[in-house]
Amino acid sequence: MEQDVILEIANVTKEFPGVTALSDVSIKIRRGEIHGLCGENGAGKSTLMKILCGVYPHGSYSGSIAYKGKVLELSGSSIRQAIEEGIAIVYQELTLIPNMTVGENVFLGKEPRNGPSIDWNRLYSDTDEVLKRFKLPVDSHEVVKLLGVGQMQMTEIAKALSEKADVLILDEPTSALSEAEVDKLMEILKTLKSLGVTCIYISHKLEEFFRITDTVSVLRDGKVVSTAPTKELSLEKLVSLMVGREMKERFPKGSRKPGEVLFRVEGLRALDPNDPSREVIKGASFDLRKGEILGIAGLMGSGRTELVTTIFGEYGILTAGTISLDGKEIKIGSAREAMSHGISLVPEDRKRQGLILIQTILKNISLPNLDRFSSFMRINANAELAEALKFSKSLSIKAPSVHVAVDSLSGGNQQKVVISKWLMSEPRILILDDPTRGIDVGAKYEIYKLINQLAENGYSIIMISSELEEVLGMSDRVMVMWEGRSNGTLDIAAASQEKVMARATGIEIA
Amino acid sequence: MFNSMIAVFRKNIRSYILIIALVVIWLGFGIAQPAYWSADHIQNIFTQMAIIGIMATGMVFVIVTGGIDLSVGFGAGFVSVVAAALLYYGTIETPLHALFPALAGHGLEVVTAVIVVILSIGVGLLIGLWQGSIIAYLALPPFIATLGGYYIFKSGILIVTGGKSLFISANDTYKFIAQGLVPPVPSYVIAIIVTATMFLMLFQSRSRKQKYGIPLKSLAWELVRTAIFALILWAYVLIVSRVFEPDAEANIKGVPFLVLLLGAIALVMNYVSMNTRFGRYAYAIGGNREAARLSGINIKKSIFGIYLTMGALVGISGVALAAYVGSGTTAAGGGYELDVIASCILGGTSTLGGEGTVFGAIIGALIMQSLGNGLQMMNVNSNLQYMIKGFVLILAVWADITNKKKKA
Repeated sequence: MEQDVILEIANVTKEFPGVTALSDVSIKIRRGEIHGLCGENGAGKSTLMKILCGVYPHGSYSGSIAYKGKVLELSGSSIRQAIEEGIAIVYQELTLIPNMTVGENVFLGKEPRNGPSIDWNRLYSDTDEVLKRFKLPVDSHEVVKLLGVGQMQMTEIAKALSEKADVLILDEPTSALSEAEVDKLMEILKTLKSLGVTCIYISHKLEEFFRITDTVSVLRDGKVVSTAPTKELSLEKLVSLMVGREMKERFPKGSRKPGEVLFRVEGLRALDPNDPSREVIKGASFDLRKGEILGIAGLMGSGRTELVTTIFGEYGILTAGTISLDGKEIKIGSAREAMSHGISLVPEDRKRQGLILIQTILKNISLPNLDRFSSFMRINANAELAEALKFSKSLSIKAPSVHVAVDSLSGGNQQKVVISKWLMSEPRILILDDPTRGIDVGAKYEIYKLINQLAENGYSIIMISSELEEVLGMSDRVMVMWEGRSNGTLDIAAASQEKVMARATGIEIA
Repeated sequence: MFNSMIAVFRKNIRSYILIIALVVIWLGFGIAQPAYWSADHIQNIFTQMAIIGIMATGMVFVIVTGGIDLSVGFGAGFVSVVAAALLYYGTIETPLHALFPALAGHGLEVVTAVIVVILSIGVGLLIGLWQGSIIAYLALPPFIATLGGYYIFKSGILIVTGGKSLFISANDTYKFIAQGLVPPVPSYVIAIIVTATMFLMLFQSRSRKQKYGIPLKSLAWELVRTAIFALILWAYVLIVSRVFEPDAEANIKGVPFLVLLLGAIALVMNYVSMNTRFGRYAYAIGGNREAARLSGINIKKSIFGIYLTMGALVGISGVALAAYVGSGTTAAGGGYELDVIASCILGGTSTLGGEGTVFGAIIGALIMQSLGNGLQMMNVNSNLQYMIKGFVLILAVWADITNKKKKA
């Protein structure tokens, strides 16, 4: 049994000034298994992975790590050392260079050489070999920026595996993937397993553990609370282990009665502003009632985000269709105009589109609302601060003060800042584009409660979600997108995961 | 109470580190070369840094939005030779006198100077209009648009001057802008007004904060801070008014007008950067353009406004430059753009955008000037001076980067 263990983490404790990130962590990882690692944000997953790949060197933590029966001593001078030992990591954020080809990326920093120059033929043939061996459907000559997210992920994996990797760490590999791409990744992981590669699989999407892993370890507050074979676990069990309390329901119940139709989109068609020969919205229609949560489901690339950003006046070039508010047709040409009609958008990518990371909570929240605090030229800083404090309190944003930069906050709190920013603009319609992406379970629950509360207070909400359960758990009705068009709106009572999927994949057409 | 003040000071040390650096430079040179502390030098140094300082207050905004302006040197140079040409050829004076024969002597000189100043600042605004349009609306990268401007204005200077220096010896009113002194009594009056306003604003801001229920900072600390600024202001005013040199002649007493101009511009720009939408939007755009756009900010309009403001400041600097040099020369303003950019960066402006302060840029300009003057007074080989400045710039930015890393 013992020789089966490839990596043994024993009593590892890692302290930062003022915080214990890992406390007495012991995990055994068996050779050839897929070992899931879950926990809320801040539970210590990342710290543990950084120790494994040598970002935190041997000696900076207490306890020991045995790898293939020997003590693992990484000096931390470079992550090359871990790679040479056979431990490779695929990060959550893709680390590819967009303007280089797949082959160039795979062999970046270790290009095969022929004298002083790079041996291109060998580079590409070696890449092809790696891609073929692990059944990764990517073209080695393709430029990375032209790939889809899923293929980029595969390139990352190929890069990690291009040297002899015995242990592959995947840090939230599916956070940006569509359902179809996730399926593809699962297949690849199975192939890797059959080839004897050990995987450590980190994810926020709990369902995935049941699809792919053999064992799951749960971290909470820097401690291992459980390591168990996946087949002995259930989703509910996993959630309660993670949050340390029984969570009966993942989606809080709201008590709301949607009113009459407030907002209507009919026959909307739009072109890609970056490539006007491409039609991105090929006919979308839906209506939104007062105090309603309308879910928008659909696969990645189905045009969900494009649709809402077009409605918000910041994306597509409209060619047909109408948008009406209170029964009157309106035209929206910019975010500013959308805001003047009482429409706000919490964008998909909070770090890139929602926040100014180097600025304070205060400045982020007030940014779209400065007109309100300004008389002639001057911003009334006191009124601004008072209002920001009100929102930070009512949404319980956890931070030392509103004067700290948002990049120091956790994902859930960052998302609350983005939501505050848009709530302060007093919208009638709040569009949320995947509001819980990359947020841990506890924080998700708080965001759900907040969204419910808003709907009860009469806000009309459009919520895009990549997770089927979420969209079904939260919405009053679900509009399904398929290939740039709306493929029907389902009443929640009549909707099920299967029905939504059938619409989303075009098996069933409205 | 003293301990709590020390604690507040520790917390704010980063924002004061530049001032500390400045004090160190002054002490060092002052000890090595007592003339460094002379009233003459103190009067001069602020005048010498003024033109760079004025442009730096605008450059902060440009760099904060993630842009750069390489054309400000020759832009100001171009404005200066236009002003010089208007005066040298009597372009304004002659027809003015012909139209209003009653206007002559000193009166004519004043009216001419005013018209020349207005027209020159207008030229600066046109420069801003041009660059703002092509950067904001034609989406040209600022580096390229202003590099183009660099060559265009350089050529403009040569065309206007025809390759010779245009002297403006005839108009003393115009030269007052850069060479004149505000006599002691009006200087005191201005200093009293500024001091009173500073304390008044302190108490007003505290009482307003109280109204909104916002926790206040330690009163002692705020008072001491304001008092220190007031003290520095008064020390300067009294020194340049030669209170400590009773034998000094009247014509060297007083605050240089150019320094007053710099002070006023710096105060306005500092206020704009912190308390107006225009300023906030600049930081937002530089911090995250996409997020700013989705927050409903009209990015093109903001960027245009910033280059237009830069143009106005280039205009003012050009006017001052002509007055300072007393002529329009063929190399006017050359190299200023790099001093302006260096001042901003030394003052903590991030070249990546989103961060920087007007106050910092002014201190940055002062540090550059203090260093240059000190080295000159110490008779350091002039060939070495640029090298030393270069290393100081690199050292300062490196210290800033490591300091930030430690904090993270």
